[in-house]
Amino acid sequence: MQPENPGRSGGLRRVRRMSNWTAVALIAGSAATTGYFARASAGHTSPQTIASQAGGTGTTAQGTHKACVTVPVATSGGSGVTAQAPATRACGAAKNGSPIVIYVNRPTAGQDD
Amino acid sequence: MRTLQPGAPVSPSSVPELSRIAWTSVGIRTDTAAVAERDALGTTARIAVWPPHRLIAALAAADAEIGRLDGEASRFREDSEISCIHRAAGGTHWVTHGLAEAVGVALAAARWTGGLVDPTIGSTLISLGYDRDFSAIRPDLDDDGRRAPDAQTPPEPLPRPDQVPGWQSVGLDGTRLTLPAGILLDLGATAKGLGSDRAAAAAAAAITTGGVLVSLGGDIAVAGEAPADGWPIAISDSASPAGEPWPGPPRAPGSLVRLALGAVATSSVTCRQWRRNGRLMHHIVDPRTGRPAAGPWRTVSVAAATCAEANAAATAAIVAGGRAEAWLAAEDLPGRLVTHDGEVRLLGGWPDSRDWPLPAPPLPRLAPWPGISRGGDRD
Repeated sequence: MQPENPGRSGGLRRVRRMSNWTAVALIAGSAATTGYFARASAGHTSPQTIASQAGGTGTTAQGTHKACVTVPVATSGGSGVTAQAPATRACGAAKNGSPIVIYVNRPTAGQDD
Repeated sequence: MRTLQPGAPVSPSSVPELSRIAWTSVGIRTDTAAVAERDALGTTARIAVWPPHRLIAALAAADAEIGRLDGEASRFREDSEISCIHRAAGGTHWVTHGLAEAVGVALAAARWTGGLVDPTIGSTLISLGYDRDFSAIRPDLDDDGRRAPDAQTPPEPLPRPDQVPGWQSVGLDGTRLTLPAGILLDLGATAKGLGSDRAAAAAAAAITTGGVLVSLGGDIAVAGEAPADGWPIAISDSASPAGEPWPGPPRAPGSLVRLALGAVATSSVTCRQWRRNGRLMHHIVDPRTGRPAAGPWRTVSVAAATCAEANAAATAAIVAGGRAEAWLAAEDLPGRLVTHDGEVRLLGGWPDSRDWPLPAPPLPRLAPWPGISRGGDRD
């Protein structure tokens, strides 16, 4: 067995150490870049941005797969009366749209189902 | 993914053909959620769902809960369970789990608010003229059909107010309800909120993915997964002279919020008005006086963990008058209070900018009534 050349083996260790650090840096850089683009493509909106979009077409927040609803879907008004949004309507006024018919198993009055 | 467009009838191919209910689609200028509404419980029920193709499943589930509550607790339906009990003029009754829950929530709200809301005001409301479904009351006419006198005519005195019996006189042990003779229950301060809670939970379970918002007369509960940043909700200060809903100034503080968890409810003395002996009446009665509440607030909105709790707190705040702010602060509930002059007070982190999320609701304040479980366990 040949004795190891101390100068040569030290150089090899330095090269390996540098390669390891280079790999770590590359991985970290890739992760940061991926995270940046993922975040950018998610279309994250601040409340101010949402407020400015109110009334426009809603968008789906990519990445989270959650709907992004930008217009009021209901109004909390005086007890017992719903002032609908976004249309202004009076108590009991006519509604927009046409019937959606559903069929349910409705219990008779006072019965548990 | 199929998106429901306003005006598009939907075939109920996957729903058993048992009871036909007509909802109306509502356009909200977005295809990320679907909204529908119908008249229910003497007011308007509205449901919003995402993803939109789950609307029918949500409507069916919510409708069953709304119908169940109507059959249990409406004092304007002759065939409702509570009307049958009222006709018995007192005594002990075994009631359904659903009615027991509704009465239990009302009694718990009375205990929580120190009696500021009280379900035993039923006969008082009737004596004041609120004796039928509100859609049958002519706000512009007196109770004998005369046109209300103008502002120059001094109003006649009201009859001596009835003594409100008090919620402590009601016995509820599990599903065993005991009412002394003469007591008529009115669950108006909590029932719609409870209905929203029930309907939202049922609808969220039915859609299996996404989220749902249920509004019964403006008492709003959400369940499931909220849209990004929460459901946008407008807060109305019903203040028109005719008592019609009025959205208020478009940039009024706290008039547009986002709700991701829990519920929000609003009580106002400016809607559900009628005349009695020439006096303008409203439906929020102060149990301590037997008269319509006369505090500084015309509208109060409260956010809470459940809609029943928000509903009770908003009504209690109207009745509490000058003590309302301190009470809501002590309960750590976000609130929006509007004085008769239109001044807006925001409490407990209620957002003051447009379109800002409401804070996460605190833990439920409304302790369940002993022996009554929330969620309507059934026979």
